[in-house]
Amino acid sequence: MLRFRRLVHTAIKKDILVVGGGPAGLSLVTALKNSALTRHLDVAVVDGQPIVERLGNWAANNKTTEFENRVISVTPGSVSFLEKIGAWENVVHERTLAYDEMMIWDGESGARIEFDAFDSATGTVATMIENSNVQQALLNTGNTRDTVIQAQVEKIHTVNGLPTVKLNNGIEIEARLLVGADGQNSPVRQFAGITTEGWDYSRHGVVATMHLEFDDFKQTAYQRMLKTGPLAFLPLPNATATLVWSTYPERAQWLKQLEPQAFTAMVNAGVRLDMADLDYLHSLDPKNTDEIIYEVTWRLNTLDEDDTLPTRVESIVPKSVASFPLKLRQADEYISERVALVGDAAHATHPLTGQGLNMGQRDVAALVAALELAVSRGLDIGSLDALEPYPRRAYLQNQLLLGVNDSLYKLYSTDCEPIVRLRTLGVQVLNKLGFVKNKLVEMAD
Amino acid sequence: MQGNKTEMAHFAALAKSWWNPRGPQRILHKMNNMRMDFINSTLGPSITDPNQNTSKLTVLDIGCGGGLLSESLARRHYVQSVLGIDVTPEVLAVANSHKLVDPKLTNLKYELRSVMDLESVKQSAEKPTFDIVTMFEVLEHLDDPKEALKLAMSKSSQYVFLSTINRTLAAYISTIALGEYVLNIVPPGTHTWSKYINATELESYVLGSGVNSESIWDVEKLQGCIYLPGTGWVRFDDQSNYSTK
Amino acid sequence: MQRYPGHVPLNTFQRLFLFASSGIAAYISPRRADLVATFGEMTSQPFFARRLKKQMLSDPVGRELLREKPRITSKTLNLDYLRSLPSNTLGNEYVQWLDKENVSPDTRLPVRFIDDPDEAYVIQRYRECHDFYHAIAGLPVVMEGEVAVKMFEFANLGIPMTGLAAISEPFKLPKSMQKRLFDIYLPWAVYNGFKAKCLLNVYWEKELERDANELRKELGISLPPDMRAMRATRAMRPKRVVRNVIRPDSDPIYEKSN
Repeated sequence: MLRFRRLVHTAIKKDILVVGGGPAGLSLVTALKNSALTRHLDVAVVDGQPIVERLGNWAANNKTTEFENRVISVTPGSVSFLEKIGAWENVVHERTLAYDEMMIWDGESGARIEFDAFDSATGTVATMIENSNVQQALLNTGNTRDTVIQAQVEKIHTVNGLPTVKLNNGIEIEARLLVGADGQNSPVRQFAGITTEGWDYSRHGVVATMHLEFDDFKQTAYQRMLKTGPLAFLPLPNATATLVWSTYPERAQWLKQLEPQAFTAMVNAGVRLDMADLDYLHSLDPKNTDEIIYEVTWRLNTLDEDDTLPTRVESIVPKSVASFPLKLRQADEYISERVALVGDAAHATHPLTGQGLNMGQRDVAALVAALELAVSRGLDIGSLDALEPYPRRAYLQNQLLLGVNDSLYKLYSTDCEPIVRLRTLGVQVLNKLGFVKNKLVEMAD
Repeated sequence: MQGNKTEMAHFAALAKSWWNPRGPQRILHKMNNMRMDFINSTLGPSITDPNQNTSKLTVLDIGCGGGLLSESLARRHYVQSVLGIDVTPEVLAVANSHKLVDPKLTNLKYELRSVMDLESVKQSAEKPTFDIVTMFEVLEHLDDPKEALKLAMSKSSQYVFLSTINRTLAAYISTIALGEYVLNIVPPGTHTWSKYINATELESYVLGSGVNSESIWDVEKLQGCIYLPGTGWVRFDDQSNYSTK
Repeated sequence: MQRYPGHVPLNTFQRLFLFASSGIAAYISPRRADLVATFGEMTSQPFFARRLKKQMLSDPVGRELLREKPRITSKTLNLDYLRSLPSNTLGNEYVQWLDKENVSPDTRLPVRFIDDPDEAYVIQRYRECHDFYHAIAGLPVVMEGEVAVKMFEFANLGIPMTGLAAISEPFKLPKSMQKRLFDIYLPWAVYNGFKAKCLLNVYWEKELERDANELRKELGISLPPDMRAMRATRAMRPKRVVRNVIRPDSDPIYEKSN
């Protein structure tokens, strides 16, 4: 007897294939499935990680576990988008914290500026939420979960004029539209031959989950602008906060070598002590925990207690310390024939104003709007005609945010006295102008 | 009857670049978006909203060219089938080959035929007329637009969508002088000013006797538009060089 | 709110008033130590005291000083013990200098108008160490020597009052002294002040038993020609030779003065 094996090339056909199951990719799928106009499109999302397995029951399994260190700031605009596509109700709300105030202060002069959202419609500046919490909420909305294919992308090539993705499980998928939600090194972007502009900040962001001495009665996000980069202290429920400390790569490396108690001391130092103290502390042996704690304790005791600053850190969650390099990137194009880029694949920014995820959500909203329009006009969803409205809505706005972020970063990365005086004066004036501040809060949303 | 010879040669030359949205037909691609928006808004949500509508309509697209509008309509959930006709074999060849790019376009057919030769065209054996007849940017290319309009209307059971260019100074400057010769955004020879028809003329054709003897036709929506380089198509409500019913 | 013993908190108006009045008064009567000290405090805020504090915080010895905040007085320093030390030690040179100039470490005024306790200590420490700078440079308390030390301090520490004194005082001196200052001592002060390690980060009390020259070498200070000897001979050296004195450490005159 003979058995024949089919050798003919047969690829699975999809209308839209999304590469990358992070918040941007999953939001896109969820939004497309939620829209009357695009619901009929055959959509799949590919991710190399077992996201369904890991996050499918996250809500049930994570009632009491420690907060993860990948915490993101979601603006009211992003929240209402997630509400609109039906995902926000699936968020584990006990693990999120909406803050209504943001305090930013100058690490050199101490000049501060407070933004509050007491007058805004939502009363919220932004909501802190774990990355996994957003992902699991999206996975559990509609039939998003069923669109996920767990596999590594091996190759992307063009077959019969359509982008075709070869996966490591042998499956090939041919898409009328291929969406790159595949992060900063986006293979989809490389396939499309889209180049990026930008630079590295030669800074690393150090993240950690921290337990505070007591629960702050205010819901405030703090940011101290040090010449090495901003130190952000973002509130989570139950006397917990997340740290994002941007600093020189060698200092990030040094911080990562510290014992948990020494790391805790350094964070308290980073929030309160003079840059000269920090410079000195960084010159010590990272393994000399006692000396680090001794020096920090002495200096902290010379300070008057200032309850406008964040609550002191009591301990950090072991193994929650990690770091990543900071970059500014903007893809030269967000689209090409049959390809669209969203989220980090399209742009990367300094975490300074917490815009990373929100820019991705705005991309997704703009791309979905473009696709809805394309469907209503009967266009081929992968054609440039269909995709062109997307960058028109998203590109300039992102460029503006990237620019503002970058300027702010540069303004605060110096301790040159005249510049410190000028920015201090600017901030003092700005802090008195409530209406301008409200405008800024709106702009960031 | 045949289409106008010079016009046909001109469109044959355009065939190759028809589907390139960044090529010489870019404005046509943009105009197609506006046509679809116009059709959608005229039909209203009871037909275009996927949540409300269950009925499906048949379409005859007169002067389908490379098939921009035909494909667009064929993809809409409220369209059952589209028949596109044109007099230029080269552009029809483009339309037929481009159709294959989207295998889901099985409800779309093209025929080489003139608007003056609609008599034998039938949606099906039982039903001689179509729910929608479209005739965009066709009248200004014809020798006898009034007769063509009469024939088109005779083939429609519900809607006729059409458009043409106003015979005004503004239209001359924008479509011929600037569009074809100065800015080169439209290929030279695309338009012939003497064939342009004013909106009021068009309205009188539709409402006038001979075409509309039983007074069953009404002009439902009349809209003007102009292309501004750098901005795209801008719509305004009167003074059209683009109209429909 | 008083933040340390002797602290006098001021509001902005008082601060401005004191700044102007002490400045004028100190210029008219530069021998009034209290006026000079007050003007020194007014001009070292907000930048200079803070910068010095930062310099101290960046150095292990500076941090030790800020932590312990030691004071230099005739009580904390056992002068008799210092007299018993070998003559090449810093302690012995210092006490010999005190005896020769007939001054006491207790003549320093306490800081009153600087708000931050650490910054107040920085200025206090600078004042109390002033005699050590004289001793380590071997310069007398006469106006000429004072000007040289002030310039040395200004180059080393950047306290504005010291610079002001170093620039304004020489013109009150006779021509011959002016010439000596401009040719020898001011260039020596600027060069050594910049070259030397920040002297606020020296725990003088812990260096008393050390060989003074060894310490000078460690701090990067060369001795200037002996001013007292020069004033005694009143002989002007040829310019060319004198110029050479101030820079290379191997200069014969420099060697001789050791």
